[in-house]
Amino acid sequence: MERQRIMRALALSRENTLIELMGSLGDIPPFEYLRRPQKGLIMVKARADAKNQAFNLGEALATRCSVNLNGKAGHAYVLGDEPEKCLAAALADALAQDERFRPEIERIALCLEADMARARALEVQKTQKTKVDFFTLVRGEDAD
Amino acid sequence: MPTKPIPANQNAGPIPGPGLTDYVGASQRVFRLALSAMARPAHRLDFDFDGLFGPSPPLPPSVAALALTLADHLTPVWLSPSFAAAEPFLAFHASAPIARVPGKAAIVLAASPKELPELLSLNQGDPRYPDRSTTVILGGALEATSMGITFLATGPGLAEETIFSDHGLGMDFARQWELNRASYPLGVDVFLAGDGCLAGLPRSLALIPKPS
Repeated sequence: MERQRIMRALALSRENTLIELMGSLGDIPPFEYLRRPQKGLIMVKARADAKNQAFNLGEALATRCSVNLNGKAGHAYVLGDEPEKCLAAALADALAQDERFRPEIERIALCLEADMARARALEVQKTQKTKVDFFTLVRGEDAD
Repeated sequence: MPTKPIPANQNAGPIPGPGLTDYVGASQRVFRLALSAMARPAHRLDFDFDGLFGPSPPLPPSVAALALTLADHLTPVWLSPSFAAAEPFLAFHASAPIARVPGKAAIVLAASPKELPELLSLNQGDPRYPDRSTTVILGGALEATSMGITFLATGPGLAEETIFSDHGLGMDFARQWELNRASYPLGVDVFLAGDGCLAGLPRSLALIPKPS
């Protein structure tokens, strides 16, 4: 599993789920903060089509954190003001570089992905009920 | 949007140590101190730099605190040879690019007067933007023993001539400083960052060497 995929799962996860799963790891080696969780604004860039220059869409609140765990640096950036989730993600990033913990972290990432898929399916199911099928509507000018 | 390739391992290279513990509060206090030092030139201000860090930074605490306060991603930093090990520290905590030659740097960190580059070789600023000149943070000077001269300091911020010990700066620095002042409003500003203290030498300051 790529680091990028693991970090995506960690960053998009729900705080409670992530902290619960990280708690299931048991004892992890001691760590030192390189950068305590700190929040700030990041500029989100966007572009309207492929040709145009990117423009600044707006600022988003984000939290970042970095730790040094047994000589491995773990970094995490997550959206929103979520210091605990960010710390958990940074620890997971550092642990994923350790052979002993790698399989466990991959398992956590898969759990988080499944959790997100479930949440998404539920959302789709809920909104599906309100779907309007426009093909059944006949407008007057098309009648002839 | 052209996406930049993500490096396979962003952890390549040495891991930097922790930075300022309370980074917002600490940098605000250090910035205020730096303003005071420049407003009251050639005057030693005491400050507890050690208390700003948990584990010791790879630079003297006063130099590290001032560098983290002033540097950001727009200010290339040049490090004198003795400070070379602090590159990852500054790159990580200040996002500062590392300048390979002092002349390209916005901020120069020098470990001692001996490692200080010739002031005229640094960025002197633009006549339209004199503020773009290099700022020098010089460590190891305030605690150095005198080289047998004292300076008479005069200029904006000083009501009368003030005696300023040379702090190991020597006659060569006095000559460079005279040239630096002659190009006013261009020229560089110097911070002397000592052990628990700071002094500012703004470009408007005149330092007249006198044998002591």
